[in-house]
Amino acid sequence: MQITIASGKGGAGKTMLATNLAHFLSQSGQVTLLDCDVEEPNCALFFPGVYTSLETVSVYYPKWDSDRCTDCGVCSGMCRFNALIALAGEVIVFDKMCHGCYACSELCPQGALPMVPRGIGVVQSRKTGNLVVTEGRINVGEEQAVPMVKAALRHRDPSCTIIDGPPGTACSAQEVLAHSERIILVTEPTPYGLHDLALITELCLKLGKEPLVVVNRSREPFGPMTAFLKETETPLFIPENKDIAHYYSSGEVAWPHVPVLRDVLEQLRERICHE
Amino acid sequence: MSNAAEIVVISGKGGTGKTSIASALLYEFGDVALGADCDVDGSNFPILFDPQPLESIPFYGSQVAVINEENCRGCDACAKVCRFEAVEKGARAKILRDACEGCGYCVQICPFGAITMEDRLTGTIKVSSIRTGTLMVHGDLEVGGDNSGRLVAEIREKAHVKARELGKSLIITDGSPGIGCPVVSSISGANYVLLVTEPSLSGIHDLERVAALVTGFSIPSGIVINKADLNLRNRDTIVLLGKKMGLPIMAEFPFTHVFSESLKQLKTLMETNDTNLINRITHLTKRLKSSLEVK
Repeated sequence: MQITIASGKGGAGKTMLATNLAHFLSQSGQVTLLDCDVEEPNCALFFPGVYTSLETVSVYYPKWDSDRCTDCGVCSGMCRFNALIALAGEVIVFDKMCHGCYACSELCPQGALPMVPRGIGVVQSRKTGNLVVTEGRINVGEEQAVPMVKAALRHRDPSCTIIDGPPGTACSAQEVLAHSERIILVTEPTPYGLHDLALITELCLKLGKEPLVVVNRSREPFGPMTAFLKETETPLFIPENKDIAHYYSSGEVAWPHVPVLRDVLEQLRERICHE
Repeated sequence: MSNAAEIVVISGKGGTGKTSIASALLYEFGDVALGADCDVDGSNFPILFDPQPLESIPFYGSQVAVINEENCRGCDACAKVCRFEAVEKGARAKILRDACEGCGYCVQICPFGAITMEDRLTGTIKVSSIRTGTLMVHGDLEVGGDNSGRLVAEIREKAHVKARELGKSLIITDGSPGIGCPVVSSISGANYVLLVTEPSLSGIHDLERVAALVTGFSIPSGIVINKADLNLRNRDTIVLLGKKMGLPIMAEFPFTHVFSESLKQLKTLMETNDTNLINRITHLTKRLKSSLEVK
């Protein structure tokens, strides 16, 4: 079972739910918690321990070999991402802008643009009890998260993986959602939460997946959101609770101390494990 | 870029109150300021301001390969070179549009000239008048679209053009989340970056990462601690971290329902009756003004 916790809006409680659900489920079996929020991976903060490095993730970009280059100009103007500029007698490569399509490298008649690897981040892991926490972590300043997300996804455990997805609805979020059997969307009952929930629901439906919505920090009903949720699978609600926020802020799972959260996790387990 | 000074509000971590702070600042600065929303992947900045669209400009952020079926002989040359698994082989090749990266390698390699590149609509740039009497430049990214920093760059450029036209001296920009391409695009060339964080371990972790990015750009910056009383020990850690990185604490806000309650009523923090919050925003505004003048 591959379950992704996602949210259109950052800070809605995605990581809170992912860490608590994974820890809760690990009381009765092996669970992998896979952090695919590669720009800001936070799940491991809740489970201190020593990391084991699983993989250094590299992308490939062309490196100019001036000895081989005959200044023929074939590569000039070829790159649609402006990652390569051919001037008279010199080729300049902007490695961070390269999308790794290999066109310039393979079409160079002289082989003067060999592809070379560049590390963009790591996939690493730590274990506590039945729980394996694995994260993809992209280096600060790297701009392309998708290869990093793809690498992290290779470390799913087929039996039970809880994935903490990237926020938003852009390409890296889509990559993770496309690989999920079940999607849980976390939102908050505000106009911002609703706006972003509508966007990510649309993305899930486009991918042919019916999401289950969890409304976090729920107080009195927020009318427009109630109306939206009538069209979805029966949602679950986590009440507004300062203890949950406090345990989260200290980097601790809250469910053993907060019965209302434990109730929601039990209901979630019922829903996702009996399908 | 125009002569207008630009303050960009960002946060590594989502949900720290970035947009609440940015909208309160835009309200408080009044009609000398213009708004810009660079959180294109979940554009929330306009929601509180009742935007009335004045201009809507399609944004073609990438390209996609298109097969001309008449010319295609199904030779698979394109499928062999595509690194993005975007070509489905067959009697006629088929491009999987969602997978296509727009690199154009297939166009170069096709022996029959059967492939062309086409612009792909990935978003919209909008200029709207808002209820506080000023303008906002904002954008929407197509769902699942390429979250290109270019859309962000074009929104900011448009904001500067409008600021020049209308004689606005200040731009308040709601920046992109994270530490990737869009946030780099949000802050480059800005006059001041305000980092909004919260005293949770995640907040601190994300602040460290995003601060490393910002200090790399040498832009004057400061920190806002939201929900400061949620965890006082972590709050102190942020203060120390700020000292170490040369980032002053520009304001602190308490953990309060007023943030979400004001949102539900579509009001900025300045329009609530919480005088404590209002005073803190006013004070922050003054400090930002003096930081910009010193420069």
